[in-house]
Amino acid sequence: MKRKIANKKSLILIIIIGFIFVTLAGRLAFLQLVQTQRYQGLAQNNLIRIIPITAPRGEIRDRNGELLVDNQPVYTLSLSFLGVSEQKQRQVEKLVANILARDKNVGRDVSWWTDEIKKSLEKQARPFEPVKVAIDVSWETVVQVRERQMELPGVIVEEEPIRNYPQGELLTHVLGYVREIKEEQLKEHEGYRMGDLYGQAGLENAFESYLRGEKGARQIEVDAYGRPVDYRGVKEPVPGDNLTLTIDYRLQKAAEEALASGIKRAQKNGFKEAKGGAVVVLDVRTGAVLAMASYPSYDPSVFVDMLSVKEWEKMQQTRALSNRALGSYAPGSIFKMVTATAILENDVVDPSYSISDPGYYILGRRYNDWKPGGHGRVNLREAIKVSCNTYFFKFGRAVGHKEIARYAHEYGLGQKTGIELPGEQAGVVPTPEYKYNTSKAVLMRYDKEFQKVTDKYDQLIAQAKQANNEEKVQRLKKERDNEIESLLAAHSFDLEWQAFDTLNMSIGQGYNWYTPLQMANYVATIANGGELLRPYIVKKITGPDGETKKSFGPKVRRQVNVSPETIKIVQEGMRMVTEPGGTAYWSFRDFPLTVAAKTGSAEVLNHDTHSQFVTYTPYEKPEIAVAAVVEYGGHGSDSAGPITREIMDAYVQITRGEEFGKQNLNKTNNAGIQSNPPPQENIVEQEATFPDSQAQQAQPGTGESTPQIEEGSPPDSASQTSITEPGTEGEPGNDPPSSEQSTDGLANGPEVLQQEDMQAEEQP
Amino acid sequence: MFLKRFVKKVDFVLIAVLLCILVYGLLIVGTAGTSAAWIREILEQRGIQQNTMEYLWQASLWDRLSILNLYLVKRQATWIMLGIVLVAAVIYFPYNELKKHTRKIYILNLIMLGSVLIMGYEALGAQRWIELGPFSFQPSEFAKVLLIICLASFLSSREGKLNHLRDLIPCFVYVGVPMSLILLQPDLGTSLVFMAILFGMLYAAGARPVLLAGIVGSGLTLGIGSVWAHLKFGTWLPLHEYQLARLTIFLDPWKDFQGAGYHMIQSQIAIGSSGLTGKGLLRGTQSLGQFLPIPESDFIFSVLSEQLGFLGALLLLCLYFTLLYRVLLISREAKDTFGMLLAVGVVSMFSFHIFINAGMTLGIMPVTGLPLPLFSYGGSNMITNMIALGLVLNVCIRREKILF
Repeated sequence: MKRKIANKKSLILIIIIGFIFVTLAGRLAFLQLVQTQRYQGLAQNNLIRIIPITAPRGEIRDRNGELLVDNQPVYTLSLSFLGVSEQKQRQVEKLVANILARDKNVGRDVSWWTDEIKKSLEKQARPFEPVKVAIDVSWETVVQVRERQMELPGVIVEEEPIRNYPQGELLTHVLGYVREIKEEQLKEHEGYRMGDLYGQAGLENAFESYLRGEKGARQIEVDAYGRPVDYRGVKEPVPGDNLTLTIDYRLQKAAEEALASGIKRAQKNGFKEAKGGAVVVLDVRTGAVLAMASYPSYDPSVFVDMLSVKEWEKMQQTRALSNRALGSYAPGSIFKMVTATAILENDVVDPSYSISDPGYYILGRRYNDWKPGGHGRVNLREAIKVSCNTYFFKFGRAVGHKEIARYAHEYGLGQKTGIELPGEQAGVVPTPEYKYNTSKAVLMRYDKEFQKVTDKYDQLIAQAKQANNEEKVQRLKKERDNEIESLLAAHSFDLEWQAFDTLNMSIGQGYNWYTPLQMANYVATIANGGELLRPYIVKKITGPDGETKKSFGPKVRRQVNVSPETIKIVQEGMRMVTEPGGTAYWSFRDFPLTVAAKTGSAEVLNHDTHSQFVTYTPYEKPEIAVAAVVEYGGHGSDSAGPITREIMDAYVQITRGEEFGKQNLNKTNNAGIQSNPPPQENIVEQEATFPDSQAQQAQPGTGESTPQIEEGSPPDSASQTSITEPGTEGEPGNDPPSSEQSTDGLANGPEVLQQEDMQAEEQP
Repeated sequence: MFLKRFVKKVDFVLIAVLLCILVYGLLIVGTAGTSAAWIREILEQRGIQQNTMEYLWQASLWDRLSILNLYLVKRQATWIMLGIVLVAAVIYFPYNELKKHTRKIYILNLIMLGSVLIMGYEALGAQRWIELGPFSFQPSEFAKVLLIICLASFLSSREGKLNHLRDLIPCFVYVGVPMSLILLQPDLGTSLVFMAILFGMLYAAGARPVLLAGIVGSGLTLGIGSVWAHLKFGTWLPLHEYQLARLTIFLDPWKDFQGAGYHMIQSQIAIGSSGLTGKGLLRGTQSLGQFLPIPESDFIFSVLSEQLGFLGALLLLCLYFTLLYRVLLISREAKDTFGMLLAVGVVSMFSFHIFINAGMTLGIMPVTGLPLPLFSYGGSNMITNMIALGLVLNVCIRREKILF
C-alpha cells in the first residue's frame, strides 16, 4: 500500500519534471528552429558595425590652379550606445567630458562638454549608430581614448576630412561654407544622414551634388564593448569632384583688399555708415567672373568647428554672410546708359543735338541737377560724361518709362543673370504695377486711415466669427474691401505712376533695384557691342582622377535688340566720363589703358548716397568690366571709384606685367605715342581742369546726379527723388519700402502736373 | 564490505549521467571563459595573424579545443574532484546518522547564514560571499543541502500528519527562519529554491496535494498581484527597483532593450541564431563578442545553445532528465521516509534550478541569478550539488531492494 502511494507520488513528480523539461525544450525549439532567421539577423546586427567613411569633398581652385579650398584630416570623437548600465554610461560620459575639457584644440570646460554630450546623444536617431561629439580633437585625446578604451566602451575616435581654406577668407562669399545638414535638407535630399556635412551657401551649396563625393564604409566585427574584433572589408570613399573657377585669385585678392581698404578710407573721409560694399569683375568677352567680392567678409573656417553664439550674432548683425554682389541696390546714374539707349533707339533726339542746361528741370516744380547752375550746353554724349540730370529728365520723360524699362530689360537688368551661385536677386525695373503694389503695401501698413479701417473690420469680423455668423463675416469682408477700395481711390495720386516717377527712373533713382553683378554684366554688354552673356564662375568640373566631367564656356543669352550705332554712342559717352571734365576723370588719371566708365550716387533717404561705379577697359578692345558699390559711400568717384581703380591696376599688373603702366606712361610722355592713353592733350587739359576737380572733391556734398531740391519746397518732398534704403538683402520686390517714403510729399498739385505733362508732350 | 555493497547497489546509470554532465560542463565552461579579444591574444602569441573569427571558422576541432580557457577548466575540475571526494565521504557514513544531528545542522545553517550578513562582502548588489582563506564561498549554496537534510528529518517524523493547514505551519516556520536570513542578503533566487524544496518534500511527505496546490497558487497570485499592484498603483513592495526590473523584464525585454532587457535579448539572440546544430564550438559570436553577462555561470546555457544548437542543448536537457528520473527512482526505493525525502529534496532543488536558469536564458523566466547545477562554473554550487548527489547515492546503496 505504502509502496503504491510512493509509486504514485514519484509518477506525479516525474510528470511535473517532465512538464518542466518539455516546456524548456519547446521554447528552445521555438527559438532555435522556428525563429532562427530573425535571431540570426539580430546577431549579425550585433556583430557587424558599418562605419561610414566620410568622402573628402571636392577641391576648389582658381583659373590658374591655385588652391582655394581643400580638405584636411582631423580627429573626431563619437559616442555610441553599448548596452552598458546607465550608471556605467554616465561614468563614460563623465570621463569623456573630462578628457575633452583638457583638449587644447577644442577647449571649453567640463560642464560645457557634459551638456554637449547629452545634447548629442539626444540627437541619436538609432541606437548603435555613433553620434559625433567633438571635431578636431588633439592627438593627445586620441591617444588617451585609445589607451583607456576598456574604460570607454563605445567611444570612437576617427580620422575625418574637413574643409580647409589655404587662402583664409579669400572668396568666402562665393565659396560658401559647409555645415551639418539641417533637418529640412535631410528631408529634401536623399542619401544623407544626420550629422553629414552639407554645403550651406555659395558654390558649396550650388555644387553640393558634385562636391560631396560618395561615402565609403568600413565593415567591422565588434564585441559587446564596441571594440573591433575583425575587419571585414572596406569600401573606399570616392572623393568629390573638383571645381575650377574662372576667378583669378590674384585679382580676387586685389579686389578684396581694395574693397576693404576703400571702405575704411570712406569711413575716414566722413562716410560713417560706409560699412559694406561689393565688387564684380567680369570678362566682357566671355562673361567669366574674374573676381567677386563682398564686404564685410567672414572666415569660412569658423563653420568647421562649433560656432559660438557671439560670433554668429556678429555675423548676423553685419550681414557678413550675405554676398552683396548678388543683392540689389539702387543704381543711381550708372543707369543713365539705359535711358540714353532708349532715347537713341526711339529717335527722340539727335545725339548731337545740344540742350542748354540751366541746372534744373521744371515739372510742376524745379528738379535740380547735381551741379548748381547747370552744365551749359550738353548733347547726349556730354550728358553721360558729366552725368547731366537735366538732359535725362528732359528726354527720359519724352521717351517714357515703358521704353526705358524695355531697354533695362534688354540689358538684362531686373532679371537674374543665371550665375550658378544661390541667392541671386532679380532686382526690379520700375513699372506702374510695381509702384502701385509697393505703395499700396506701405499705405496698408503704415497709413493711419487704412489702419483705422482694417482695425475696425478686424474686430467686427472676429465678433461675427465668434457668433458663427458666416454670412455676416462675408458681408463685413466685402464692406471692408469696398472701404479700402474707396480709400485707395482717394490716394490714387500716390499709387499711380506720375510723370516725376519717369524723371526719377531716368536717372536711376526711384524704383530701380539692381545687383552689382547685373550692373557689371550690363556694362559688359555695352562693352562687347551688345552681347548679353550669362556670367559664370565655374569653368570646369573634374573628377577625382583629373578627368574633365563638365566644362563651361561663354553662353550668349541674346544679342540685345539695340542698334550698333546706339551702343557706339553710349560707349563714346562712357569713354568721355574718364576724359578731362568727365565725372571719373580723376579716378583714371595716368591709368595705362583706355577706360570707359560711369559713376553713380544712389539716393538713400536720411543717409549718405550709395557710391556706385561701373567701368570697362580697354576702351578700344574691351577685356574686363568692373562694377563696384559702397553702401553709403557718397558719390561714385568718392568711394567706389578708387576701389575700382586699384582693382584695374592689379588687372594690368597681372595681364601686362609689373612695369607695363610705368613704361607706357614714360613712352607717352617721351615720345608722345597716341596708341595708349592718356594722350598728350589729356595731360594738358588735366591741368586746366585741375582746380575744378579739386573744388569738386573738396565738396563731397555736391557730387553729380543728386537731384537737388528747390529751396522753397516742403522738406518732405525730398522723398520724391530719393529711393528707399535696401535695408536687408531680402528680395526688394517683397520688401515694401520703409514708411518714410510712403505717401508724404506725394500730394503735389495735380493741375500743375497736368500742365507739365502737356508741355512734355510738345517737347519732342 | 562497504565497497561490495557500493558496487552491488549503486546506480551506475546515475553515475554515468552525472559524469557526462560534468565533462560536458567542463567543456562548455572552457569555451565560455573565452572572448574574441582573449583569443586574439593567444593567436598572436602563436604567431597567427589571421582574423580571429576567420581563424575560428577554419580551424579544426582540435585546434579550437587548444584555445579553451584552461584556467577556468582547471579550477572547475578541481571543484569536481573535491566534489567526488566529498561524495565518497558522504556515502561512507550511513545517512541515518544525520538524523541524530538534525538540530546541530539546523543551528549551523543559521549561524552560517547569519555570518554572511555580518562579515560577507557584497557582489552584484547582494551580500553572498564569505572569505575563507584563499577561497570565497557562498553559504546560501550550502544552506540548501543543509536545509534538505533538516527538513527531511523534520518531515519524516510528521509523515501522514500533514493533512491540515495548521499541520503545515510548523514546517513553514522551520524553513522560514533560514529563508528570511537569505532574503536579507538579499538573495531572492535561493529563497525561492527553499520554497521549491519545501513544497516538493511536503508533497512527498504526504501533505494533501490540493492543499499544497492551493498554497502555491495563492502564493503566486499574491506575489504576482502585489507586483502588478506596485507597477500599476505604486503600492509598497519589499524589493529594490533593480530587483523588480529583473523579475518583470522577461515579459517584454524589448521594452527596455538598452537597459534591463539587454541581456535577456542578447541571450535569446545567442540561442535563436544558432539553429539545429549550432554555430560550432568556439564559434559563438554572441559569447565571443561578450554580449552575454557571466557567460560561464548564469548564461552558460546560452553559450552551450549557441555553439551546439538545439541538439546540444537538448542533449543536456535529456541528461538532466535522466539524472532526475534516476534520483526519483532511488527515492521510491529508499528504505525509509528520511531517505526518500532526502532524494525528493534534491530532485526539487535540481529541477527548480534548471527550470529557472534555462528558462531565464530562454526568456520565459525572470532573471534571478541561479546557476545551472553541475554545469555552471563555481565552487560552492558544484560542491553543494555533489554533496546532495552524495546523499542520494548514500540512500541508494542503503536501500533494501536492488534497483531494477
